[in-house]
Amino acid sequence: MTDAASLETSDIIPADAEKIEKQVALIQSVFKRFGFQAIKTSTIEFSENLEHALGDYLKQNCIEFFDPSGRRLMLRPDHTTPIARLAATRLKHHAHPLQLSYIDPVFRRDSKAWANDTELLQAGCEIIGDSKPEADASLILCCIDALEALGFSDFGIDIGHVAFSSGLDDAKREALLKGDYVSFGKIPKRCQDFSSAPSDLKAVYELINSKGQADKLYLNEGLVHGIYYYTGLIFQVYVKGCSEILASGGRYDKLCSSFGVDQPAVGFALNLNAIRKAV
Amino acid sequence: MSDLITIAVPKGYLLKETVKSFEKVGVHFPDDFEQSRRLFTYDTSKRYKLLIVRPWDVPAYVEQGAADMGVVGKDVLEEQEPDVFILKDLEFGGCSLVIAGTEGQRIDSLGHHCKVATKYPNCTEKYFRKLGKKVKIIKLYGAIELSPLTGLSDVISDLTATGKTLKEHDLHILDTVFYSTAQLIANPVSLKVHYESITSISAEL
Repeated sequence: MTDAASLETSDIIPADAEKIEKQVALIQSVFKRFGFQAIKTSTIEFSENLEHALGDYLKQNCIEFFDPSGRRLMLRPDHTTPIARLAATRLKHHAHPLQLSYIDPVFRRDSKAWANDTELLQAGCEIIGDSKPEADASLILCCIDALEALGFSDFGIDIGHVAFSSGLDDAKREALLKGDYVSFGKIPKRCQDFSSAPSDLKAVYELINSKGQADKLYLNEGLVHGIYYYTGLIFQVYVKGCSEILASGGRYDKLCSSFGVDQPAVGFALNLNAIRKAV
Repeated sequence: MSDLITIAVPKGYLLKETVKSFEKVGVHFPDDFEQSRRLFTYDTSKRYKLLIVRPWDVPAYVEQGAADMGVVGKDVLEEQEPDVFILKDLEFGGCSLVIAGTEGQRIDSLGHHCKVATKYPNCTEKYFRKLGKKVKIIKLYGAIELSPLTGLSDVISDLTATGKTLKEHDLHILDTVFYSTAQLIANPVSLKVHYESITSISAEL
């Protein structure tokens, strides 16, 4: 007899499966309405095809094994990197901007014992080939619509920028990234007034404001991290009473170039495991 | 901003000092509370709820969001490295994590694979790794000072405020790993949801 529950399994029984199916259908219709086309990347990848573009966190936490010939394989640890790989290869000559969406799991062995969702269902969108603030704003609006379709109303969106940590010395930057505000010297400012924000954030704010959704937005000078490949705007969505982030995203203008094609890009993902617990 | 803020605080000295600090800024918790066996209480305005927990459990409450804020020794943060924001050094509860041994011992002369008894395996291992020494950590839960006297370990890595207990067991401080005081911490989502309330009480304390 094996201990059937010894792994962090993600078995889903019919009652939950039905709920997930409904959530997926709601999200799909929102993604479609915003003009995103579904894409499915390979669950198993050759490590050598992805690892040069992954940051330390994903490299250390991805699940790897060998094929019979000894080549290293990994389970897809994130969606954006394989999508960037496709954008730079098979989709290179398709009309840009590419507007792609996915609803599939990623696989990570997170060292945090309580966050042990090895199989993490994500639903997300990527816009590749568009550097304008309209792209960032449309993604955030799509994220808002998806969350509202799932039944959330009282959520907030914190908007940060990688530039908030530039110009800091190493010790200050590390303190800010770690959330050690004693060593950083102050608690980072967070407000709904975007007048002091970098111009790209201000433009995104104005676009979202024109759609009447600016009441959800907070400029957060402490939001400087996320995934290492972010190059500009970063956002995180959270709701009272849930300690996990419901969705997050950001601009990654350099990732595609690590696969040989220079394209600006922006994307976000809903964390459906956290969302399932929060609704 | 009348949202209830939940704060996890360890029973004992840190609880007393925390209640005193809140008292100074006009937040009153019931006087008989520390003597009672109740594990939580509210202040008179019902804006704050105190949870009384074990020192080592404060990060778990805050990390998971069961408490919005917490008061915890820096030693516990260094050892557990939880995903929380550190808002303020409250400056009370001062003590040090030290390496202590018998007379004549020196850090430089500790051999490779020497045995170190401690409640802080993570910090201690890191400290010795920085020195380039591979040591054998023996994790204990208390009465650490007994360890070198009985031959269980060569030295200890333990928290001390006055050094009195060390002296009583003929132990000498060989080096200080870090100095620790009580820190005010917050759950990352709570700091967003209750930003105004949390930053203003943090500034006042």
